[in-house]
Amino acid sequence: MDYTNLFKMCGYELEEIEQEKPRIDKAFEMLELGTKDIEKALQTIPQNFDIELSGVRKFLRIWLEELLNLMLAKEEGKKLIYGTAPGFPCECLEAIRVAAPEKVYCANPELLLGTVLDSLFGKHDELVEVAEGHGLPLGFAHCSVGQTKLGGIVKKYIPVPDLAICMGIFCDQTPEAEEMLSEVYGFPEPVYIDNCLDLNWDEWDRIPLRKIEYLASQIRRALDRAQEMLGIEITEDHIQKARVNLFRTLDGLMSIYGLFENDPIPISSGDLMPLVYLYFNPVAGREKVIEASQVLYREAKERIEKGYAAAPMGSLRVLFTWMPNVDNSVVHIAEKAGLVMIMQVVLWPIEAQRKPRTVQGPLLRLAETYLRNPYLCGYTPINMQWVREASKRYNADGVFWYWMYNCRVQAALNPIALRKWITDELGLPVLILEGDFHSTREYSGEAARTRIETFAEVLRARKAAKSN
Amino acid sequence: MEAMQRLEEHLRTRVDELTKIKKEGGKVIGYLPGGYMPEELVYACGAMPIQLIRGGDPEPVAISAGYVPRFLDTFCRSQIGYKILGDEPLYELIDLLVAPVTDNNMRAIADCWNFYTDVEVFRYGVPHTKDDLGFNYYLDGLNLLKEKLESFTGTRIEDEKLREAVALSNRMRELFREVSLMRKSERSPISSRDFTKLNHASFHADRSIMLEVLESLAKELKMREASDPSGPRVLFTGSTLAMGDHKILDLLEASGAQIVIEYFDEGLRDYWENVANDGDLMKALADSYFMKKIPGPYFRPSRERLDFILKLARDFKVDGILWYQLMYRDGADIQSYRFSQILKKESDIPMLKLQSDWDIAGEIGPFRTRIEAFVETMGRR
Repeated sequence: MDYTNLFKMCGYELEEIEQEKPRIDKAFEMLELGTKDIEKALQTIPQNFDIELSGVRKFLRIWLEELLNLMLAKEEGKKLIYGTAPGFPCECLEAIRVAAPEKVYCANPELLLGTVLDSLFGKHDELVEVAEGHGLPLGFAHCSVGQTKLGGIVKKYIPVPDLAICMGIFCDQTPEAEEMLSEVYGFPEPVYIDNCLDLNWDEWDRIPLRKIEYLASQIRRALDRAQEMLGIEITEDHIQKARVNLFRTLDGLMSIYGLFENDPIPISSGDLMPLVYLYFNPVAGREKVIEASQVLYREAKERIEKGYAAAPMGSLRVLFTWMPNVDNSVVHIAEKAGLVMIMQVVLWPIEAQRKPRTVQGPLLRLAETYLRNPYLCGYTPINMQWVREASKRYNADGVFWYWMYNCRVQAALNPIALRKWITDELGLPVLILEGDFHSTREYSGEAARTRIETFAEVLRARKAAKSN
Repeated sequence: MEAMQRLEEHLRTRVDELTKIKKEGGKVIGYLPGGYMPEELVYACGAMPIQLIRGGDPEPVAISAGYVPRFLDTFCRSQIGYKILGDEPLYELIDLLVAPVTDNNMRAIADCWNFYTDVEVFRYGVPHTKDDLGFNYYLDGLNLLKEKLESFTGTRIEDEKLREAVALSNRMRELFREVSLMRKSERSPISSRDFTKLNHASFHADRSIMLEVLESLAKELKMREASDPSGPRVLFTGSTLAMGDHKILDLLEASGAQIVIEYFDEGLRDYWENVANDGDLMKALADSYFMKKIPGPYFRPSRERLDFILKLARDFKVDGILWYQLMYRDGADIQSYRFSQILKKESDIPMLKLQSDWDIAGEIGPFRTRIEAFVETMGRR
C-alpha cells in the first residue's frame, strides 16, 4: 500500500513519511485502510479543502498525526484519557496534557475518527452503521458523535482508555452513551462533569455564583481522578496554561476570521474546519496548531493583496451557527451561491462574555467563561443576544442556522423560536437547515443545494429592494 | 368501585373549582413531571399544584412542529402543543410554571412556555449525580423555589404548614404504596388502568378528596373478591406514561396479559419513599426527592434505576417486561439496550420494547400484533 502521495498532500516530507512508516502501517492496519481508501482520500481531500494553502495542509497533517498518536499511545507506554466531543470544557483535558505530556495522551477520539476517516477518507459512516447494531440504533436520532465512539470501540479502531472523562455540561446523550460503553463494552466507569441548564430567562448576563462553583467543582473532580491515575499533581498553573493555550488557538482562528471582512474573502470558511475542531481537541502538537494558523493567516493576507476571491466579490454576509466536522460541502455550496459564512455561535464572544470575571482563580474563571457562552450554556436568550451582537458587528444580511438534527441541545435551543425572534426583532431572513455535523449518512450538502441557493436569491432580492 | 366513581365525579368539576379558587385570588402552580418538584411546598403556601401530564393525542404533537424541532421527546413536544392549541383547560389555569430541569427535553418545555406564552416560568436544576455536590445544588434550588413561591403567592411558607403538607403527601404515598403492593399477590385486586388513573388524578385533584378516595379504595380492595389470575403478569415501564396515553395498557389487557406493576419516570407518583417529617424540612425534602429517589435515565450513573426495575420484576413475579418509550427520548432508548443486556445476564424474563410518537392510527395495528405475539410467547413459557 503506497500512501506517499496522501501524506505529501497533507504536508509531510518524503523522509518524514519513511521515518513514520512503521507507525503508519500499524495504525492503518487497525483502521482497515487499504489502497482503495488511499485513492479515495486523494480525491476527497481536494474537494473538501484548498490544499494550495500550506496552512491547510499543516492542519490536515496534525489531524493525521494525532490519530496515529491516539491509536498507538498505549503501545508507546502512555496512559490514555478520553473526553467526550465536542470536548467542553476543552481546558480540562488540555490541563492534564500540559501537566504530564510524557505520561499521558488525551483525546476526544470521536472527533479524530470523524475528521480523519470522513473528511479525508470518506469512510466514517461505517462506524455509525456498526454503532446502530450495538445500542444506538437507526431511527432514534441518536447523536452521531456517540455513535462514532461506540463504532470505533466495537471495531477496535481505537483502544479502550485508562480513564474516561464524560463532559455532560450541556448534553444528556453523551453521558448516557458513555455509561453504556462502560457497562457493555469494557470502558472504565466515567468520571462525569455535570452542569444544570437551569438559568432563568432573565439571568443570561449574570451567572449565579452557585452555578459557577458547581461546574468548577465538577471539573476539579475530573482533574483529581486524572491526578490519582497518573500520580501527578494538576495545579491551578496547569489550568491557567491550558486556558492560555486554548486562547492562543482561538486567537489564531479569530485573526483569520478577521480577514473575512475583506471583499472578496481570501479563503473558504470550510478551510477553517480543521482548525476549529483542533480547538476542541487536546492535541499533543498544540504549538504546531498555533504555528499553522499563523501560516494560514499570512497566506490569506497574501491572497488579499493579490485580489484572490474564494467567493464572488459582493457576496452577502450571513451568520453561520456551526461548522460540521465531516462534510463542509454546505459551506462550499453557500459560498458558490454568493454567501460568505461568518463566525460561529460557539466561538464569537458576546458582550456578556467579555465583561470582567466575577470570580478569582483559573478554575472558577474557566467555569464562568463556559457558563457565559451562548451555545454551551444551552440558553435561548443568550443565543438571541449572539445574533443581535454578531449581526451588527458583521453587518450581516441574514442568518444561516445550521443545526445538527440528532443533537438534543441544538433542538432545545429551538431554531424555530429563534427564527421568529430574529425576523421579528432584527428583520433578518433566516435559513434553518437541518443536518448532521458528524455523519453524511442521512444528510449532505448537495441535498440542501436548492434551499441554500434560493436563500441566497432571497437575500440578494431583499438587498436590491432596500437599495432602490 | 365506589371510590373510583367518587373520584370521577370530582374530576368532572375540578376545572370549575380551580377557576373559582383563582377568581378568589388563589394561584395555580403548574410543574413539569419527573418527580423532582415537592408539591408540599406549593400546598404550604396555599396554592394549587398541577402537573403537566396530559398526553396521547396526535394533534398537539403535530402542531408543535411549527414551534419546536421535532427531534425532541413526544411528551415534551406535546406540552408545547397543548398550550398552543389551548384545549387543555387545566393548563390554561396555570399562573406560574415550575420547571425542575432534568434534561434538554424538559428544558425545551420551559423555554417554549417562556417564549410563546405569557406564563411566568421558574427553573431550578436537577443535578445528574447523587453526591454531596449534587445534593447541595438541588437543595439550593429548592430554597430558591421556596422563595419564588412565597413572593409569587405573597404567603410565607411556615414550618408548621410545610410539616402538615409533608404529612398529607406522605399519607398519599403510603396509600398508593399499599394499593400497589396488593398486586404482588397472585390475584391482583385492581387493574393497571385504574391504578394509573388514580395516579394521574392525584396530580390535579383536590388533595383531601384524593386522600378520602384512596383511603376508601384501599379498604374496598382489601374486602374485594379478586378475579382468578389469568394471563401472564407484566411489568410495564419506560419513560413517560401520560394521562390519556392508555393504548398500550388497553392492548396488553385485551391480549390477556395483566399488568401487575408499572414504573415510569414521568406520569406516575413516586410513592416508594416518604419524606422525613422532623428536623430540617427543606433538607428532608431534598433527601427524599433527590438522594433517595430512583434516578431518571439522565442520571450519571443511572444503573440504580435499572436495578430497581429488575427488583420490581422479581418482587412482583412477572413473566415479561414491556418497555414503552416515546420517540426521541434518548436516555430511555439507551437504557433499554443496557437493560436488555442486563436481563439476558441476570434473569430469563423476556422484554418487548415499543416506541410511540402518539400517531394512534398508524401505530395501533403494529403494536397490537407485537403485543399479542409477546403475550403468546410469555404464555408458552
